[in-house]
Amino acid sequence: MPEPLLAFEHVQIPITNGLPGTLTLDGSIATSDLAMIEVQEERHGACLAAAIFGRARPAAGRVLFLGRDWADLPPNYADALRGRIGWAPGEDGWLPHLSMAENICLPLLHHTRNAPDAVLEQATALAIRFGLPGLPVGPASEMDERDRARAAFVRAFLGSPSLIVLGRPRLVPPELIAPIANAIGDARERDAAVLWFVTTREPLNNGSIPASRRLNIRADGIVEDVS
Amino acid sequence: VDTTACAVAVVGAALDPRTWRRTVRGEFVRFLDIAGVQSLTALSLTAVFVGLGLVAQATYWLDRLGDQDLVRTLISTVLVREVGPLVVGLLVIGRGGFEMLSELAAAVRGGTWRALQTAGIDPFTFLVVPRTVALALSTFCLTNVFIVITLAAGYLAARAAEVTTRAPGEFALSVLQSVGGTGYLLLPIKTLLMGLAIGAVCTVTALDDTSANWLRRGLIRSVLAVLTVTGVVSAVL
Repeated sequence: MPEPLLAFEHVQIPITNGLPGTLTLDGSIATSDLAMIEVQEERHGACLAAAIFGRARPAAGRVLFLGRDWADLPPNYADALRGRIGWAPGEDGWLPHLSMAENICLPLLHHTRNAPDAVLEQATALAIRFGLPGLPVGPASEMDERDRARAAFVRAFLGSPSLIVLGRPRLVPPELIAPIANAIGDARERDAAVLWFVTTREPLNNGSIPASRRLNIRADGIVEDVS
Repeated sequence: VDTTACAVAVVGAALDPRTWRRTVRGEFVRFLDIAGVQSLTALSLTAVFVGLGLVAQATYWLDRLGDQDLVRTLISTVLVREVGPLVVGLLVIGRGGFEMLSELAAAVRGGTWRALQTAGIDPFTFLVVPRTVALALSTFCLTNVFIVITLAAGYLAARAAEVTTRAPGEFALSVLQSVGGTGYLLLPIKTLLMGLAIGAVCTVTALDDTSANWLRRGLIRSVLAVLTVTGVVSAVL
């Protein structure tokens, strides 16, 4: 049996953001999985996302990414491993002194030695795929919210990440559902897994996105598999 | 203690070749432009005014002492050891220090600091190290530019006022000789430490100061850091 891409072994994570509570989960995400994670409270989603990235230390259990326990990894190694995760940042994730193009390409240029021209070319193709006229060259603050959402998806799918995490709960413009579904399909074909945090049932019920796993974070913080 | 620890951490990271990935180098070049190149106009104007002031001082002391060599040595030593680094240090706070403090505070308060961590990019390596190293190098380079322009302006004004009759080459040689070995050692030590101190103070303020007037406090702390470095290095050397 192949090793899971992401494994939660009897994990309990204290929720530090907001009211006291604990996130409890046990299970794994395999390669090519598309897991839709329905979030009732944003603090639950933020806590789970932090655990996935190895940035929240569990009170009990282990979180393993590519077979490695985040808690055992030295900081440099953990950072390099985070470079294998594509991530759609939220509104606060863009560096104001960089252009949106630089923001989008930053993680890939930081973690790899890919030629800058090739990175730009791939980012431009993805930007067009997600409905932007090209790679945005202005600062993030000069773009509207929908275009920033498109840029966030460009950044998440850029490169060949092993795991793609589509951010905290966010508004996804309806016209983006189809391009996202296509990009997810391509990513799964090359054995990447995708985790998509959602707040509404719309994407879950959309047949164009065939989720292989459906998880639900209950109000009491227990993550259950409702596939 | 925090500032010193931060400065030591920056030096340690800066000496590690693995720190200088292309994205970090890009930040370094960008900030070197902000703190160094973009300060040149203000620095040059200040240097010209200081140079003219030096001529006034030279004229005054020549009248009282009558020894041209002594006065030249005194003034060039004071310029190289004290006035140059101090004036440039204050200018660097106003341009690069202000920019660094604003950017870091925006990153910490706006959430991009955490976002970088999530993306596996160490914010200390990506934001702090290149800016602080750029500040240190800018302070050193700008101080040299400042001294050259000040002396050139002072010399030209002195020739115009007939305070000196020396040829330019002879004047430059005598100034270079008057700086002395300690002066050549002191200049890089003092200026590099100043830039390092400004960067460390800006970092600690951006990370730790949650008060409403963090910007004012950060700038005041930077000025105090520059004065402390100036005083300590001058006392030791």
